[in-house]
Amino acid sequence: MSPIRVLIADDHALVRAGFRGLLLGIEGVEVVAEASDGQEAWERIAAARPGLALVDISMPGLNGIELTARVAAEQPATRVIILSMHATEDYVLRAVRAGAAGYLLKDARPVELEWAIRAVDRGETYFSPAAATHLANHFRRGGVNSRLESLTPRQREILQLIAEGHSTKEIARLLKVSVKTAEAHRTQLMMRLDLHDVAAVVRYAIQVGLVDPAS
Amino acid sequence: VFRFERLREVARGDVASERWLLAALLADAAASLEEVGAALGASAAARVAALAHGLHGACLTVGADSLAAFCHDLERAARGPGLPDACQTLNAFRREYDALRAVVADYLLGGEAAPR
Repeated sequence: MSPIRVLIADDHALVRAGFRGLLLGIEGVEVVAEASDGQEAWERIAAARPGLALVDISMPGLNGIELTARVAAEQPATRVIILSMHATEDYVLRAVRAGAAGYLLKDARPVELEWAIRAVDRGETYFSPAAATHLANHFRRGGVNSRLESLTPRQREILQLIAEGHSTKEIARLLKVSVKTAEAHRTQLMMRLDLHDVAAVVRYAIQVGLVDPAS
Repeated sequence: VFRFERLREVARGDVASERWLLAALLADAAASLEEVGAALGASAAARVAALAHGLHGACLTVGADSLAAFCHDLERAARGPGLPDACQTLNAFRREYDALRAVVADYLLGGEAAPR
């Protein structure tokens, strides 16, 4: 039986060394390449064509989610398992939407890593219990984003207008409220969503489908 | 402070690998301590968050749970509305680093922290 060929992409050498060690302990698994950023990972995936890539979310340049989307679109023979420190709902959903076949935490036990590798190699998916819980909750709610649900209808409306590029003054005019009121809604929704600048608001609105990135 | 069981899993029981991983971790932590100090001095919150995030991942991978938890809190604080107090943060970071160094030294010398 041919070995499962794996690439490890993480910007931290110690994390790569740790996962290399864990993978070496799994029979029939071969680490064929490593990369310290998203672009390097992409180049190595294109060159080495591993069957599986363990990809960190937070990498400089091309991040793990963007890399996953690119691999899914252009190198579908390589399946991606996301490595992360946290399984927040946003991260998990973004990973799934990008085409990830799995989601593991960085402190995953060796046995869990092996389950994930073997499942994904068989063409199945593997999500750590924390990630799977977020997925189940998401679909139980009918696919609605939990943070988005925490907003009032007015805040959601303002979120969409911000993401569409409207200034606070324009939003106030469009909604027929004072600039001060529009500003207060804007501040509150950013606090609830834990977003700290307009760029993050736009990204979030695209991610939850409130605005079309092409528009 | 340190989950040595995790280190042994990662190193597959190979003592040379364990030593390499521990030395690399201490070097990373020391470098991050310096860089976080500089970033706090420059009020560069995003840099503090990025450094804490990177070290957090390394710590989790090899079992440095206490420093990982500190990094997690530091990253959250740096991503919050105000930059964390530089002096308090660096003192807390130094305490975590010193504790890690002590337990690693004890482990390498075969002391009580080495539950083999």
